[in-house]
Amino acid sequence: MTTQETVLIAAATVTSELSEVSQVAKNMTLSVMNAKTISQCAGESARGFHPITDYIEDIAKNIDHLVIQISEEARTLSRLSVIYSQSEIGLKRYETVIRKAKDAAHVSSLKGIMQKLYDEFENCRTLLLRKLESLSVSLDDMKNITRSSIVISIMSRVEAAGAFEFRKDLEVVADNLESSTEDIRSHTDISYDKIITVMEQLHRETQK
Amino acid sequence: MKSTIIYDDIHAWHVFARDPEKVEGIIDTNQYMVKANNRVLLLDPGGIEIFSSMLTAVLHHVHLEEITDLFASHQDPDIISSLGLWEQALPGARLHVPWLWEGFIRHFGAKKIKYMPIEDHGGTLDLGEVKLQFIPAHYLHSSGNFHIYDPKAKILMSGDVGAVLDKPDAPMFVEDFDAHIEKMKMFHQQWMPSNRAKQDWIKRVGKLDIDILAPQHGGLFQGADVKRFLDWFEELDVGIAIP
Repeated sequence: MTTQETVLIAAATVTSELSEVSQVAKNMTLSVMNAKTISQCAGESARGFHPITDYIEDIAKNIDHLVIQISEEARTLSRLSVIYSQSEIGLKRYETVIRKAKDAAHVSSLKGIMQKLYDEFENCRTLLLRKLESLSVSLDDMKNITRSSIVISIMSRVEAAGAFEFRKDLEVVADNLESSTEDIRSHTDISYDKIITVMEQLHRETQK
Repeated sequence: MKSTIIYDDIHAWHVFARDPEKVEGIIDTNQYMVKANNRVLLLDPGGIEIFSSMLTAVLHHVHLEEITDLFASHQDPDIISSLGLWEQALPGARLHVPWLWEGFIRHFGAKKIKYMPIEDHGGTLDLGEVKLQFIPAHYLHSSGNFHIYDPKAKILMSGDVGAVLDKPDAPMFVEDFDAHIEKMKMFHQQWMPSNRAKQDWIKRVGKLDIDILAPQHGGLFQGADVKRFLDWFEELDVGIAIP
């Protein structure tokens, strides 16, 4: 598989997985609204649950912002991969000319162009690597959010335990948060692994 | 790629074709080059797949900096899909194209090259030693289409008119006109959509003094074969694919 194909597949995977994350974040927002209502009804017995719902709300908002940012980065990555591929194809065609035109009277007129094409190709590769690195950092941020979310889901379970007759309702909220966090983590891991694989492929090509 | 000089005086005409290294399944194309003293024009420089062979062939005759102009008779990929690659070497060149296709041809990836749209009625291109004429050939086969006439060399570069999708080792000039008719017939009836457009072109081109009629595919016509071709084409019913 060519670098462009690998990058395009990785970018498409990120976009698709992040779209799933976005949906999960929306469900989290709905779930937190429900949790707020329940904890208000529970009154003093669910006092510790109020700040937790605020945390969950913040997490859902942060996830939403990150999804928008990562999706934009994935789109830029796709565009860069096309430019990279065009640059590579152009360079290869000109390398063929250099090989075939050895005895041509005016082959020397290609010298400056070849240097320009090599420079452009290297520049494209650098831009592509930078964008991949930036994307991996953003996905790492998403992973950090899921770590916080796991902590919050544990806290919410502890708080739910003390909520007497609202215990079961609040445990459902904690269950939802836990499963949402697991979904987001899973989609993020798939995206992250794809991006790391492409980065490794590109680094290997650079070393060649 | 085979290279033949078809006119050599103060300025020269070259044809590049019959590339033995061409990828299988791709139709053979004739690329032309007009070399004047300070200007070089490439006519229908070809598709992306033959770019390396074409540039290699060109470098046997001219220095890259000498190439100042490109011409695309119409928008087809076998005519000009190599544009993005040419631009890498010729960022300052001018591309003469039918105005109708400019926005479409830009899809071939050239951003720096200067577009010189040709109006429907045609125009001229002054290369110093020779003033070339853009001859309207709309609907033959493309809806925005030009041929190039050189009044000094008496050459008409006729795009798809006179074309034949021939064998890769076909001779550069038509050797047996009667045998050639059989090869031309289907191509012209199928690709050329309009009898009216054809008659207009015949009338226009009939006034020109032509020694060589140089199509974009297959053998070139010279001498008496030029008139034979025009007479044959005039009689041919085209645009026959409508069921």
